[in-house]
Amino acid sequence: MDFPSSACYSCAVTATDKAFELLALISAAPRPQRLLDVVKASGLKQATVRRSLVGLARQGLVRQDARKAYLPGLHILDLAAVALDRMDFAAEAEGALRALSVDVPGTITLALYRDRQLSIASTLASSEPYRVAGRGIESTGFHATAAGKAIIAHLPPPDVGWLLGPGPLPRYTPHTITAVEVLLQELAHVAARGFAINDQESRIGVRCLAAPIWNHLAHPMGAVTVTVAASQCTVDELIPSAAVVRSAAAAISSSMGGLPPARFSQHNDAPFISQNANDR
Amino acid sequence: MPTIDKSSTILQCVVSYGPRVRLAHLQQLTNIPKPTLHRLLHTMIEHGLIRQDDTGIYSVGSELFRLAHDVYNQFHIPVEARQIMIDLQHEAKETIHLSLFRGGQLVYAEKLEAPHPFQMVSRVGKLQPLHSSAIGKAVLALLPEPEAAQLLARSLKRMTEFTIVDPRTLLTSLAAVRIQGFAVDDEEDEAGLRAIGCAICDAQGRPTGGLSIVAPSFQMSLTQAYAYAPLLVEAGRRIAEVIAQCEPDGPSADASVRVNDTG
Repeated sequence: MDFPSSACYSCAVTATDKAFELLALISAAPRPQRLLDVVKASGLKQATVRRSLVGLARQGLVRQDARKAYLPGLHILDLAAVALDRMDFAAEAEGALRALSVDVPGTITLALYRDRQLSIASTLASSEPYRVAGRGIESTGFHATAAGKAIIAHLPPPDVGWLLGPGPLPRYTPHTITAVEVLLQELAHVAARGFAINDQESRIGVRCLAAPIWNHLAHPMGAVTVTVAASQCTVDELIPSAAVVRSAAAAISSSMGGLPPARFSQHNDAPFISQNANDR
Repeated sequence: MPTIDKSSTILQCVVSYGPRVRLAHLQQLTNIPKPTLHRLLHTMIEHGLIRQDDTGIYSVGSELFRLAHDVYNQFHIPVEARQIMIDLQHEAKETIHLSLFRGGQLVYAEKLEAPHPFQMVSRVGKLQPLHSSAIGKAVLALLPEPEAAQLLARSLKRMTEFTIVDPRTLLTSLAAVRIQGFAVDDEEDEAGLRAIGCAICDAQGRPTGGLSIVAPSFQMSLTQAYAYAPLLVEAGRRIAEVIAQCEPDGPSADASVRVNDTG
């Protein structure tokens, strides 16, 4: 790479460099920053700071509140939303899923939660000579899949009722949890340990373990699932893979700018207490 | 063009034409000379806003998402608002949006997907035009007129053949919106979609956002949209209440007009 070192070049780069520095500074600040706060924090000249901020504001990258203090601008949120919309999730997650497939025996899937349903973004067969096909996740209720439970355990309480309805929930096998109250207890457990288990609840002969992935708004946006043959793996044998599944899910989250929420809701309802506070 | 504008254009192109964009394509899109383009990209890579893979292809960097997280954290929407949206959807079985009005811009802050197969492409975090959306018009109608006029004092994008692009016509139509307490977007924002929206106000009566019901036009007739008005307005009022309880100082302490260029 060659960088011609004309005076114009260096001055142009310095100008944007400073603008992005100021943006990061304003974004990281706990409260809106006045011009003089930014000058002080950046150590730059007031005229330079003012010029950069006017440019950032023109692009919607910062905005001013009623007190004329600066906050990061709404355009950033729009850019991120569009970027996430266009993202190739299977490609983003490929590395983490491949690494996971080395660590755990089982079929690995990445499911995405959108438009009130789950869909498969990618599937990776294990080192085993067969693939375990569970009940199709698209046609199975959230209550009976590991991915579904991993996600709804972290949704705000109104959304859980909205997605599940009053119950009883559809039964797929004798192990399906069909009572909403029982499921809510299970979800509390899921939230507390950071992963969900499907113990032949959607299809006899199939067990799954799933951990949620998060988007940049700290909302659950999908899950990583490992699926095994029930005859080859008991629940107790499956649980030790939770750690690697969770770290794969965390790696996928962070590669897409996602992060677990510091808290899930302002309510103290037991099912929604954050277990992720220690993970950050 | 000032450098920050160039950088912002580049970032916008990487986002809009992503997930992976080549240098040649970016050059074509932005018309910025390759050496400059290369250098500006390099600066944004250093800041984590853009990343480059082994083959030299550019994509969005995680810093953009981190910044977006910070922006989203400015909003404090109580969980009760979500319940009110769900209650509204029991009556109006369509997509429900809650948007916030900040710094003269409107952004989707909550979305409740429709209980039928016709899902909107809207996403939380996306900006909404003020002049063509139902919430936008409901918000404009409740702003002091000079402020509304200032927000409309630029070329209004023709989103569909029905978009009102003349600021004066739009400002005049807002009188009726003010009186009825809601606005209708009759395929003005997106072809084939119809919406009804109301503003959400703070204790001082200043609009801080809005609530809307949106559906494909074949799914929701204009008559049906009007029929939802009382429920929508009541839900908007309840959300205003829970927001007021959640932040007594409210987002009212917010400039509606963007910083102007004279600095």
